[in-house]
Amino acid sequence: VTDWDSIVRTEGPAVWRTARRLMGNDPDADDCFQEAFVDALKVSRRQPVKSWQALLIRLATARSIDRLRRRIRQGRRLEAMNLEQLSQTAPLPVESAESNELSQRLRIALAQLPANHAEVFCLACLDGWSHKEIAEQLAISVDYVGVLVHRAKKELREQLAWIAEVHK
Amino acid sequence: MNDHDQTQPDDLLERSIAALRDEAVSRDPSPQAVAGTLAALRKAQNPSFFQRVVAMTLTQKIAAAAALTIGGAVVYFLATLFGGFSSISYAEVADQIREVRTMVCNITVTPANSGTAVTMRMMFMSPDKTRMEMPGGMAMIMDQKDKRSLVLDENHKTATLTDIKTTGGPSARSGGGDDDAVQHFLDLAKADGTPEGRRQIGDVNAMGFRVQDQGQSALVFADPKTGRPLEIDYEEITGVKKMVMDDFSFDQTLDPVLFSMTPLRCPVP
Repeated sequence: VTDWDSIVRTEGPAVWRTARRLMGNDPDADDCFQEAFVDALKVSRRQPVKSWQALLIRLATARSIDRLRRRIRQGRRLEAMNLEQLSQTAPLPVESAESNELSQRLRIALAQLPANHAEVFCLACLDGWSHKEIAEQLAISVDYVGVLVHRAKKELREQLAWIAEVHK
Repeated sequence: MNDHDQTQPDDLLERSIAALRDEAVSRDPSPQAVAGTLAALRKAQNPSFFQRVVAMTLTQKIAAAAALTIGGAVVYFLATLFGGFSSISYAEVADQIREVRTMVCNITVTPANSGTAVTMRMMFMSPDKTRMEMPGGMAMIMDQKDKRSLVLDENHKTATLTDIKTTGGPSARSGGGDDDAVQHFLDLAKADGTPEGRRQIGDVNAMGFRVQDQGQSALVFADPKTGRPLEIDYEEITGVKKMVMDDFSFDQTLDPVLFSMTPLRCPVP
């Protein structure tokens, strides 16, 4: 029998940080956190789980991407691009504010990518997974992981350039 | 104007990655989030068949084995007689919906205020392009990314380009309205479904699932072999008595011209 209390206690912080970083706010991160664990339970019924941490982080990433895409689809893109509405309430130092703005723009750009491109990009570039680790977790070839990361970066460059243009 | 807007895109991407990767997220999940997650897990974690078997007495196990043997023989007989059937979970259907890249289907809408059903052909190219072909020679192309829609009227030879972000319509997707068929479809991947019978659709004995999401009810019939939807019946959508999506075709190559926001120039006779 799977000891979920133990898994949530052990893996929870890393899973939550993954979701929180992508969502940029606590309520959405909490929802993705819960969805990742429930999805992991479903996966564990279909197949043996080699690494709970890897599975949970992948699922948290996928659910966060879903939620980001949904947020944009619901017509909140321009609202999301209103950089005055970032999570902090107190004024930030210039460097922090700039980093915060870059982060927010990358979230918006990620939401425009096909889900599998965004997921592979996050695992590779934000979580620091190797292409081999991603290939094993997603059951795809290492070469294909490289292709997806390359495509994702190309699309993100275009999106970020577009967003920067809008804000000029 | 910020300094980093002037940088090259490559540099901008690398800086954005670094900013997001290094963003300070030191806090652990809240006790409420952990408690909610454990409660959700307990709810989802019904005892499996094998767990129940382990808990049985020896007599119960022998009786169950006998029942299974007889039941298995009956199932085999029926499967052989009627050409067999297979099964699938809703999670697998949701996975297929989540992976959709392009989709073509019919949408039949029965408005709440009139009983006359209208059937449209919809084409969707992930993540943000939709084309609806309506009866009477009208077509509407929506670009979620650029927040524009183009209405083509074959009868009047007109093309009307609309800025959605300023008008709030006509694209329901842009406004997140309840009549957004694509969004309703994509939302199915986020919800849970419970089995609800079978329906013969063409030559497929499709599995039905009842899906409830944000007050919206849908009945999804999926091919048990591929997990892909064959028909979706929606109820309780604002302003719509009933909406049926069927005749699906997934991930076929769609000509980008179909989604072009630039009307083709007709040759002058």
